[in-house]
Amino acid sequence: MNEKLGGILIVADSGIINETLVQTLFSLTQRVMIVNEAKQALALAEAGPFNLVLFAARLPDMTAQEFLRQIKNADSANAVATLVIGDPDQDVELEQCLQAGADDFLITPISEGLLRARVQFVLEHNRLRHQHEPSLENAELLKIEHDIQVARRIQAGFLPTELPKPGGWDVAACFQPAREVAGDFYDAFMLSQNRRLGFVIADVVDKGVPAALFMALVRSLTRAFAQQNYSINWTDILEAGTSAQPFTRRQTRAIPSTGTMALKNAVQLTNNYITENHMQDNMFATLFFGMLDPATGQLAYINAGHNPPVIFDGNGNLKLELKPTSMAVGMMPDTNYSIEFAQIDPGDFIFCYTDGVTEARNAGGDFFMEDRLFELLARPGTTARGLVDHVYAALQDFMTGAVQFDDITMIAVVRQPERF
Amino acid sequence: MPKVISVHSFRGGTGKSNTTANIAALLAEQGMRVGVVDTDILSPGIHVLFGLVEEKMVHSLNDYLWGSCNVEDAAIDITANLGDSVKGKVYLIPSSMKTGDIARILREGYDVGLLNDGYERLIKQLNLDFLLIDTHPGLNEETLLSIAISDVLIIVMRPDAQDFQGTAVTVEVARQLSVPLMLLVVNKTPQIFDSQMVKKRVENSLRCEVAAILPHSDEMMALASEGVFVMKYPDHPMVRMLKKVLDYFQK
Repeated sequence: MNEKLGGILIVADSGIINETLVQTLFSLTQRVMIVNEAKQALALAEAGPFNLVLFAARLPDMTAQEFLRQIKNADSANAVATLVIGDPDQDVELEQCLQAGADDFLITPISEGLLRARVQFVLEHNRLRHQHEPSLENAELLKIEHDIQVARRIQAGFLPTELPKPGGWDVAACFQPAREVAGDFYDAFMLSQNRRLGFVIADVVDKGVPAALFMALVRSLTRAFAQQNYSINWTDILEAGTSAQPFTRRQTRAIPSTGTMALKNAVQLTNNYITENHMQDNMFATLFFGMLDPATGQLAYINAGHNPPVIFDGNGNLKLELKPTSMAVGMMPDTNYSIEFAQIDPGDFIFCYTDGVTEARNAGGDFFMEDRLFELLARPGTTARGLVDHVYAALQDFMTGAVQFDDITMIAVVRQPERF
Repeated sequence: MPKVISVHSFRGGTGKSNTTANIAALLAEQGMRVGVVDTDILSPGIHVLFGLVEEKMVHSLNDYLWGSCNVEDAAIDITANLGDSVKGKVYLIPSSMKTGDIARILREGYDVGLLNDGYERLIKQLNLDFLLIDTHPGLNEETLLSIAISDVLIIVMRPDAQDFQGTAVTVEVARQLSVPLMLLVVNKTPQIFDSQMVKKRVENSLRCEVAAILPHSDEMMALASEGVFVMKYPDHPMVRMLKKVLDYFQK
């Protein structure tokens, strides 16, 4: 018997349950409460559950049947046992109560031995019932738990099992969800017949299942659109009726070069799809998509509202922060995602991360912050794996004794130093 | 500074490829190093004019687009086919004539950005003075890209109502894309037409410089694409007219 929350509640006057009988009940449990009226009893049951409710077949303020219905309603765990007490002439009321779900009955006058035996029997019966048949709520929870585990496995399948490593480059990633499923993702794949390395890091607003579902959508769309040779709107200026300025020849960036159409397609078409089909869900993702030419180290990128990836040189100096070039994906219809360029020289690396890294908290509630991260990154000559593991180890150390609030995701792309 | 010249016509059969080949030959005759890219991937043909037999095509532009070779690996030196008077070089980057290759382009498409990078690389690797791009008729993406990156756009048309309308479209597009120099070449002009009148009429309606009014030529027709006209008939009056076109971008 649960001594903390349990106990016996009696709803009857002292004519039915006298002092002796109350003492008998006290020998069974430490908590026995006695009230006369149904309403008082309901208020008590509301405040804290009982193991057993003993009530008279005739109550002063409501019918016993109605009382039974309400007491069961208040008992969300479906754990309370009920015992109705009636005079010998109250057989109709007793029957009605049994039909309405009372576990058992007693007829006045009640002997001490009979009360003890009946109460013990009802409580034991109730206990066994709960032991063998998990409550509906528990079953439901188990089912959800099972589903989440399946979802976790499927989500893991959305992440690349192997990262491409074009000659002279080294790529590694880390993914640590705050819950079973995450709203973050990373991706890396070769494009334009192995001439370009595309890599992505993204963070869906929110956490848990809604974010995970949205993550699956964004990841699939970006990957699929990047691999199509769709024409893209760099030629929009040609459309009739536009008041656009003539193309200035200095806008050479608007003319596609290898991989830039894939880059633009991936982000722009994903945004179009989400804003056309999922605007009402108010979901969006910050996303960085890099398109790297492994031969030259030229990086074309779109940063859709994501915290800036950083490029460090071979001496451990921060060279460049790739600040957002546009709004997050899924926020605004028809957003134009312009492409920016950066250079990754031999010995340099680019490190992308989600805010779960910099906003990780320690037991004292302090944030990890950029300064700590950049200090860790200023270690020249490391491998991509070494870099990511180094940061993650420091994060784990930092978060000792604290709860991980947000998903932690990182991807590092290292250009090996030239050998002379 | 190396120059990129696109040769385009809105409709087919205007003599676009012939004009490209003739200009390439004339430039090479002056000692220039010239590359010719056949971006008419869906209906290639300029290789015929340069006497290139299919067996000699080891690689084509298609192979470059599909990642199986570098763009310069598809370049074939066809200078020898032009005759002894040529001091420069002509390299042809042909498109594949294989049915399966053309079908694959239709089915999969390709990253048009590769063309832009390919042009740049060709100029550098082959040390070119001129890169000539023979485009697909009408407007498609590779044509738009080629026009957008060109220093010179030559639009070939016939004095025909259909060509007038179509050429107006290309001229408008080229204006939007801010091509630095745009020239019209009116080809296959019937002998009975007064070429000065034709020039005036075209310039007035399209508001664009006409670089040459080339007459319909039985010799050209008789050649039937089996050779480059300016090399076969060096004394033909049309050669002088074509050389004048070169003056526009060689000043």
